[in-house]
Amino acid sequence: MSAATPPTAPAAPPASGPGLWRRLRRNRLAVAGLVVLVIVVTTALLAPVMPLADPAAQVRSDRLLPIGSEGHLLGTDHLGRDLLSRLIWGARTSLSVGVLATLIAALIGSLIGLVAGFAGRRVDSVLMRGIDVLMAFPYLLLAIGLVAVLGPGLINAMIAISVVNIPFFARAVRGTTISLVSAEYVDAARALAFSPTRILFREVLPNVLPVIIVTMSTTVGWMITETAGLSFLGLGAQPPTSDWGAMLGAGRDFITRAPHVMIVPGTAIFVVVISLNFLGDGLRDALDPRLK
Amino acid sequence: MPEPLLRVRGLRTHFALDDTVYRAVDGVDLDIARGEAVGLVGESGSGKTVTAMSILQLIPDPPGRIVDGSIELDGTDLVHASDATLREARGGRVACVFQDPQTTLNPVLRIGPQITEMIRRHQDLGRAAARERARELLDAVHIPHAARRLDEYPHELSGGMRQRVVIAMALANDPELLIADEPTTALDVTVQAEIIDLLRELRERTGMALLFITHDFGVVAELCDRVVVMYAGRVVEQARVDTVFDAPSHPYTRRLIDCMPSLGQGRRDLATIPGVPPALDRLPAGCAFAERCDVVEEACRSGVIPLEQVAAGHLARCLKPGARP
Amino acid sequence: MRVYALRRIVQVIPVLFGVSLLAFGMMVLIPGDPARAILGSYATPENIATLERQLALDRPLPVQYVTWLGNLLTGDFGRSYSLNRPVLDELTERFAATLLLAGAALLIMLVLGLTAGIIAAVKQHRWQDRVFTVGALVGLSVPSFWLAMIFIVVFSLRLGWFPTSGMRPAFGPSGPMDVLHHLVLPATALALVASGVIARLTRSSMLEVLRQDYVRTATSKGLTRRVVILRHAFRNAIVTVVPVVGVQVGFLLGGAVYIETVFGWPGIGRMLVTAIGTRDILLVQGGVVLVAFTYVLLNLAADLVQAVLDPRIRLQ
Repeated sequence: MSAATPPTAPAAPPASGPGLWRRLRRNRLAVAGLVVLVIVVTTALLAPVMPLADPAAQVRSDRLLPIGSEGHLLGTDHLGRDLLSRLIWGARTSLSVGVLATLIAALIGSLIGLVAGFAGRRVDSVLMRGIDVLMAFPYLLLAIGLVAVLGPGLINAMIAISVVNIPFFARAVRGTTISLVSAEYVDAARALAFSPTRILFREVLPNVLPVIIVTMSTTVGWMITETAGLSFLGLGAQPPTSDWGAMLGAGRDFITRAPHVMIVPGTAIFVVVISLNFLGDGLRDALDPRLK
Repeated sequence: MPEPLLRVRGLRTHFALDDTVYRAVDGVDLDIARGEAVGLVGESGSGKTVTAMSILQLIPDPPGRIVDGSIELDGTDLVHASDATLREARGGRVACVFQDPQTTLNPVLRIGPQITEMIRRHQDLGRAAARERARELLDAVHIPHAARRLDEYPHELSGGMRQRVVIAMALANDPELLIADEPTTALDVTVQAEIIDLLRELRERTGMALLFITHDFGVVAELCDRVVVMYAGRVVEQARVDTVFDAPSHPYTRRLIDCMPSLGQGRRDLATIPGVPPALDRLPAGCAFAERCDVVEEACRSGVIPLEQVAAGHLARCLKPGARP
Repeated sequence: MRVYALRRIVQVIPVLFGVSLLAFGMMVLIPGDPARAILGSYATPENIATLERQLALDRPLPVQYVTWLGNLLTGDFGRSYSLNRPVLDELTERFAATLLLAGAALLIMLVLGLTAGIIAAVKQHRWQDRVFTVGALVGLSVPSFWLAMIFIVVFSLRLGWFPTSGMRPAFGPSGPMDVLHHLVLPATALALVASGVIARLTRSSMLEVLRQDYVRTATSKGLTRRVVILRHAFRNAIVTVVPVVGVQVGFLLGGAVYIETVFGWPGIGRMLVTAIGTRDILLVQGGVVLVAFTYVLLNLAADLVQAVLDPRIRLQ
């Protein structure tokens, strides 16, 4: 402690429950992010019951209509399809693929981290060398290499993005697990001769959960962006499936004549990702005020 | 009485954290004459370090802030001084030695440059001349193989050696006042004694004034002419060292002296006075020490108790100076 | 230092081994007959037979791997069927363009990220902090492939300041200024996300360092605020930033794929996407190995720079 700090600094309140929500609410950017996300997700969920144009309906005479055109609020693309409708339907694809990729990466990565941190020694060193190799590839390059092997497609793009994100979870979870394994209550559980599996899932996992949640909240934005990016490159969603990335990719060819075709889906990705990041930052600060 | 080298009047340094104001220093007067050694004594949190760090404005701002008072160095006000004036005083006429030598030196810079940058900031010396001066300084604080040490990093030196480096650095520009903030607390007992000896020797040689911050009355007795005792951000007693030892006026001072470790026994915490100091964001009315005092009475718990003269050059903030249980 | 450097270099070898194994695995895992996949559908049976012998495809996997690695180490990356030229020649040309782009982006990232991070930390709780903190978060939330297109629309099509695409040789008739002209937009678009990451890290690292006792010591010496911040605080804060700069180089090399695609930059990223489309496996494999090896070595360099900056790291 530095000598010039006041002696009776107040202790931080415990990081959970209503305190967590109160602290999160004080962060205006996090609240704004949450509100935007709720609106986006609700809209995407309600897509089938909303009075939207058929996202696949091509009207040759209405090609590349600008934003604000009659009957097409956000205009139309090069095939005369309604951009608003495609945006909302595309949200379902983009968001679910991004979230699914996050869940897969979190599940596998956390499992690797738990086992490595818990088992220690040789298991740990083998698993972590594997993680090192994954991290030795530039992030996107590995994803592209994987798509090259699996073949282009939305599901394969999602798998590729999950795989390249596994190391982030594995490392974070392993670090926390190692510090937990030496903790007293785990020793106590060992002394009671509980099986390692039981200790791992009953005692260690609940305490690692906050780390997993924080890592998820900081990576989900990336994963949405990167799956969209693979689609943008033509390695993800293939026609007729269309996510925001594929919409962007299609818009690239009309950047001179009708830039709004790429501006619309790009803005959507940007708004969702920045909302996630604002919320993620707020969540991390609220969970651990010291990190601020 | 001649004009003191340092004159502090009504100093208030407060810390604002989360809408709460901590009155770390709340109305402190302090004079230091040229060549005088003053011991500033108190428990942790008494405001002694904040007082000392306020002199050169080394308080982290925010949250700390000098809200009132004046600090004059040789007649020049430092509280409202320009940055340039303040920088001339820092490391020039006033130098500091801090508590923990493990953390006060920059870990990624070699010893030599850390000393020479201070020399060259205040003196018009070339690179080579500054380096030679740095070597002399290390010699002066009895660091063996001084020339070689200049090219070493702090982590290559022991704690005691590092503190000698910090002291050497402080002496670089022949300061008139050396502020030493618990410079021995973080060191081993034997090393503590060596550092105290060194400070005494240097003071005799250079005639600089010393403000020595400590919670250890024993060290004060060895090193200082006068002592100022602080409690909860205020001065509660000040007097010549021998006076205080013979006849402490404030019960707090008396208790501090009582729990002084005998020499050679080394560092001891002052937790031997039961109770804790009051929270600095809600100081009670009356005497701040009342809760822990063994001669407390009803009158101690209300009003403002002034710092009053009990004898020539001896002040105490107590309604019953010198009382014993 | 020499001992530390040697140890780090030795530690890199198994990682490079793992990288090569994974890259080799790509070829093995590709569905179908590898020789046919490599040579394309117009290959004659003789071509396929020659290649199978060359790559030891008729032998067990370990032998295949060793043969492949041996070829690689002697600079024989095979022949690209779609371009009908040696893979190595294509890679060197393309990689030079990517390095130019990523290098420029690295420079922009360092200038933007470090400056914003330092200012935000020094002005904590003031408006500058607010602006740079939110700015950094915006920066790292923007999809770079979209930003690249926005740049083209605004700065090329509307304002006409920069060309929309292409790149010319630096020492050609048009000179280095022309290259710079073509480089500004793509390098900036590529650098922005990484700049956000570096700015945030620099800020938190600076805040941590500014609390340290040695910064107070520096102030107590009478040094100017500028010297205290740069020579004492930043010099320590950078130690934690350097390894992350190494990691960000990976994001720049990977993100270059998008930027090269949008700006028609003749780099290795665009080549990879095309090669995946034509299923030119040797080209993909060679590109992946080359970029990954470069990345591993750059990270090693970052670690060594870190040890130079902080003598205590060498002791670990």
